[in-house]
Amino acid sequence: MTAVVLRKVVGKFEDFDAFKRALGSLQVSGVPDYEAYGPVNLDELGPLMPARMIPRSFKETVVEILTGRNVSPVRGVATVGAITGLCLFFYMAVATSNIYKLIVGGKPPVSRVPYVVIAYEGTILLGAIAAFVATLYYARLIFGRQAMPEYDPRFSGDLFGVGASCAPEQVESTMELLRNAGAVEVYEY
Amino acid sequence: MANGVLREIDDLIIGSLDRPSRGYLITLGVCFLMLVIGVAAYAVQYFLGMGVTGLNVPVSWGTYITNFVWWIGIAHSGTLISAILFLFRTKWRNGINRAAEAMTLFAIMTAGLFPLIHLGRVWVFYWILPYPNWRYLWPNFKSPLVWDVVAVTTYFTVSLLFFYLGLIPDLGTVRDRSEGWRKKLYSILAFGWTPSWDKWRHYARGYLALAALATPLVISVHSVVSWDFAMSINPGWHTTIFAPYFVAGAIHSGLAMVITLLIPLRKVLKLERILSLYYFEQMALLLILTGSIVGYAYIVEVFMAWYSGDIFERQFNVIRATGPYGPFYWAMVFLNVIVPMTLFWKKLRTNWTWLFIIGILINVGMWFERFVIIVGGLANNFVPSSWGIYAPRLVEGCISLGSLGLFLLLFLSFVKFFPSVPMGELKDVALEGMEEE
Repeated sequence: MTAVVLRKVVGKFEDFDAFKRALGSLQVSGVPDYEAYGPVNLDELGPLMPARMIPRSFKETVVEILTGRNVSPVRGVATVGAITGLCLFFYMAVATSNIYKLIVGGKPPVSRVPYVVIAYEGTILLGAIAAFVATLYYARLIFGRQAMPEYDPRFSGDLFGVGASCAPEQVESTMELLRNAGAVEVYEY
Repeated sequence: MANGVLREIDDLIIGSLDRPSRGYLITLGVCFLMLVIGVAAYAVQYFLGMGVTGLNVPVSWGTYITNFVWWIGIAHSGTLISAILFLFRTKWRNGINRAAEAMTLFAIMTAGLFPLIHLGRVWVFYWILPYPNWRYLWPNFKSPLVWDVVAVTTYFTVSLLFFYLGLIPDLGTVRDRSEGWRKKLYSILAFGWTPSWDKWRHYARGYLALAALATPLVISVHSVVSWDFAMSINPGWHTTIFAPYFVAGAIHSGLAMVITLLIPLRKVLKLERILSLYYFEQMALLLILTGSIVGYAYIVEVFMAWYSGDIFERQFNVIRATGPYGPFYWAMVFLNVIVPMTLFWKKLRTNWTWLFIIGILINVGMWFERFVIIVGGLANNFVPSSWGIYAPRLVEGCISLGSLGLFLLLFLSFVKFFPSVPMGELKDVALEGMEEE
């Protein structure tokens, strides 16, 4: 059995509604995978996007299978980081008090209430670091690839773009679909 | 057409990164001169010792700690505007949050210098850090001063991460519109960002998570700073109202500083069309709220001193209002509470000149507030025989001036290298506006 070589069709849009229309049409057209580009936060377009074909982590795969949605695991990682910070900073305060057991005013060296402040700050610190690193990792910002070949620098400025990966026999119909949705430029990459 | 508006936003904001004007360079030069004066004054203190300052028994915390608390307060509005208003989906934050976040970072950096300057023996500053050492002596985690180090360090780190994450999409946009060395620089700084849905979805979750974490942090940091004082038993310091009182004051001064910085900035960077009066009017309305909370705290302090029946608290409040620091006390009440109430009049809160002046006045008032709390609390404690007077000396004044120079220098450098207004978020608002139409 020979693997089908997917071909790339790119559509550029000036109008945001036309762009969303194109994504909706692509979703029902049977095109296996496509990517959307735009200068504004596109997170809310999730329902119009395909389920990711190549999961990047075990957790992401599980989440996507269970929920059927494209969910980012960043918040989960941030929560784990925050809980780690809480435990670690509380432990640090307790453990360092126990290293040098100086009794002051007859009180025990470990005093839990003041350590809540340290643990609270640790929760936020490690939670934030985890959220930042997870965002970079999952969005492949440090470790990842450079721009996809179909990327047009104007996608970060004033244009919206769709890059659809489709089988050779779907190329014509996909180009037609994008034109009908209102694309100002359509071409095969 | 939508793309015309989006292009215009890019043109205006990226255009502000062009070759600096003469006025900008002159301002930069003045700030540098202020910094040089500060560094020279610090050199005097470094070599001659703390005796060159006005600090002595009983007032061992003076201008430096006042400056520290004041700068930390100023740092608060950035995270308020970015994180809290983001969580509340407040649209007007979008035009000003980047500048406010940058201001936050630079204010914390400036604030962080003051405990070091105040230390005297700055070369052993690392004794406060939690690191393993052969003496088995660790910082005392029960001490509010160590809480402060942990809180401020956390605040700086989280603010930096939050600021940088917000900046990444805009750095990508600037990279796509740049050439030569600028393109290379922004390519590195943007971490290879492309605005694809796959990246946006992780980015949005990360930004939300950071906003959710930064919100309780804003409240905690200045609360911890206030506990530097409130955990002691000094009259005027030992009060439970200090945490909310300090947080409200911090937001009050931070908002005032944002207004003070952005009014000239919009002219210098030719951003008048983007930074419209609307944003400033919203901040002015918020100033009325924070000014009212601060005013309420002033009244409660006096009321509690009277109602508690504590003779030391009563005595302290009387001295504060009528003693040597009385003029500062009344100036702080007037500048922080009475003056912001003028913003109830639409005519005044939509007047650029008045807004600029009021921003400066509130910041002066907030500095007086910190001074009256810190110095006043130490100058008049329980025993009249140990009372004293503190007055800042020239070295302290020059170092304070230098800190302002450093802050402005950092801020002015930032706005020439990075987009000072978030382009992506403004485009979001523009698109939503067009969809509603």
